[in-house]
Amino acid sequence: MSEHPFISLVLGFVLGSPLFAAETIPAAPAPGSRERRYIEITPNEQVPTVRAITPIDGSNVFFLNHRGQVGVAKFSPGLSQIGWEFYSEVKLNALPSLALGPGYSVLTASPFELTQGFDTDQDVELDFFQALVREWTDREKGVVITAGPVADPHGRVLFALSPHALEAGDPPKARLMAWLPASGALLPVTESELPIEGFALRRDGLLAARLSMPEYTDGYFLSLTELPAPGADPEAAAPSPMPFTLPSLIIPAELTARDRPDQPVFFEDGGRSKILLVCPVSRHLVEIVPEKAGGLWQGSILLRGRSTKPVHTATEVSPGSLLGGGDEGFVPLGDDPDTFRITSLSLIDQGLTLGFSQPVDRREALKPGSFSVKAIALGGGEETVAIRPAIESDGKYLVLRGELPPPGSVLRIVCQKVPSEKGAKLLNDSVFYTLHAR
Amino acid sequence: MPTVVHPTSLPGFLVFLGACGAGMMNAQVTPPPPTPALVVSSVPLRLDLSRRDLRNFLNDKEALAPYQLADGSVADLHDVFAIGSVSARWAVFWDARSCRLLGILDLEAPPESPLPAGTGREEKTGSAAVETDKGPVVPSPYLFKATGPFPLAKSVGASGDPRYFGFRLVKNVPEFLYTSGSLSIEERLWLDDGGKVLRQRFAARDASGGMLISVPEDWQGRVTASVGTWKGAVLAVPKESAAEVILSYPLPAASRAAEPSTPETN
Repeated sequence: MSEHPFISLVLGFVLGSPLFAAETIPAAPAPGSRERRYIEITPNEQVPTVRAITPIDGSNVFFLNHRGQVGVAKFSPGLSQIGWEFYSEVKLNALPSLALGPGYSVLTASPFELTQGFDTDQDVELDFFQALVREWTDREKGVVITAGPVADPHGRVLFALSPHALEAGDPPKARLMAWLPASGALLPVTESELPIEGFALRRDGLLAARLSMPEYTDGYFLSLTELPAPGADPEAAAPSPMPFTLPSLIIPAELTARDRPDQPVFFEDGGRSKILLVCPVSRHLVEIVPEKAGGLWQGSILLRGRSTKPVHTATEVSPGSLLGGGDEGFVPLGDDPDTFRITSLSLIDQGLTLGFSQPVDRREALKPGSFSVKAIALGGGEETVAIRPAIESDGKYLVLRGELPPPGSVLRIVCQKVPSEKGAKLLNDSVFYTLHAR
Repeated sequence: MPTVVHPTSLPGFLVFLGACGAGMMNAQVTPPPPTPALVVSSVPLRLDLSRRDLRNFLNDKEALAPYQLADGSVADLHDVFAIGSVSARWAVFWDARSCRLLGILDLEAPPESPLPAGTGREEKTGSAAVETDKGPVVPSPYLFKATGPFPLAKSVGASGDPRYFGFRLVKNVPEFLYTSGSLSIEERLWLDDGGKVLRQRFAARDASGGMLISVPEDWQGRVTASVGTWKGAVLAVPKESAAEVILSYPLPAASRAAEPSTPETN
């Protein structure tokens, strides 16, 4: 720790931030007279109330606070916070999401407007806010933006609209819309029977959308949909049939402690693409590993950890490096190696495999009754699956052999009596798999 | 060596290209205009700017027209700009839907009484007390409420509904950018003179016929203008002066607003 925190903060931000590198800024002063622009972070005792985060690079992020103000924060490589400053003090009526645009512009959305904020005079403060989109179908009848914005790899800006009918008499459907900056056109890219509460987009076009179904209290729906890349004519009508966001996975309420999870975020972990959902009240961090089988998306759902502070939002700052934010500021969401937990669930030909973060107690794990596997049919009803456990040599993988049910069910695996070989108790003893195809 | 992210490598690069090419007519490509010279000794307040949803407080039928819904009801106000200051007792509201100054709220006044059943919203003025057969109710806490159609609707070149484009900050003062017909308008609002005056600056491009700016009739004679000639509640600004006209609304420092004084022209 430096004896002069003020100095180290300033230097850290100046040297480390591409945000203020002159060569990244259009119309920057000519070489020879170039001046590196920077925010001088002074010691700041205030804790930001974070509602959305978008990474700038591996150590800087933009964030949105609960008042709708945009801030910029800097972190050390281990995601310890160095400091933060406002990038705009204007209190936008913003949904809890923001996206990075070019030139360090920031995209936000209220239920009624998609807005892009610019720092036009390059004084490191947003000073121009352009209303990109204010008109869409049935806006005057109450159709609003429910989630977004998200910038996709094709330069489009995506946001979700509440259910509406395109033609009189059609059933109302929620739609994910793409705004095309080159023309200002607005095109639907997916439809959904259920409103979209939040969504994330992987670079290859895989969309993860949280769907709203308040009357269903046993779980929460997550839809996985592949968005096709726009064709040569980006303004061409959406493909027919339009991709439909089906409720691909059910996140059981018992995994979230009945706390509604926030919007999803994709991240990399151990060479796999995963999805994280944070639960602000219960502090549960839910991990999903999406898998495609038979043209359908399914996957495992497990508890990754519990955050030390309430977390409303999360982002992947750099590959595998997760940062959360909430009322008590920023929270690094690293995977704690000391936590004994289930880390994976994979289907195999005759059963399934469970992975653990630490070797299990072999004798306890092989006892009858240490595991139970149930198949809950999506159409109703449940059955117990008979399994025979076997332990892989390193003690971190357990093979549960048995006849799995046909597709169309949720597998619930409970490891009720499986301590680690050092006697640690599992963080959570249950893990789930939504099975649509084999 | 710090990692450098070039804007072209960022997702959404086209957003910027599109913004410049497709619509940023009033945007950052043009440097913000200089802060106007003010006609009085000026102590601008540091402003707090937010956007918020409000219950629709307008009463005037024409001012409510942009908010009229198909079922006959009136839409609430969404994403309204609220301009205030910790040093002022006033909150000023401007709406992008109707592109106009909607109201000035006295933050120290008691809340507005709910409108009595059957009176509707067709009061004649915004700031007057509502008189019913049950007797007077609490006066409106709004010192100013928009009345009549879009304030620049009578200007040559203005037509149809105004279209909001965005806003920018000029020395922390919000400047709203919108179009009406062939007019491109910049409208700036700030609290001045220690919070005793609301200034409203209009600048119009392509105003070959000048500007006609309407103010609510109950403000006739109280609003002063840096240029132009008043005819009743309408200010006529010649085309030579359309690049900048500043209206000044006196705000009482204490107690409620005084009754309108004798109209004056300048």
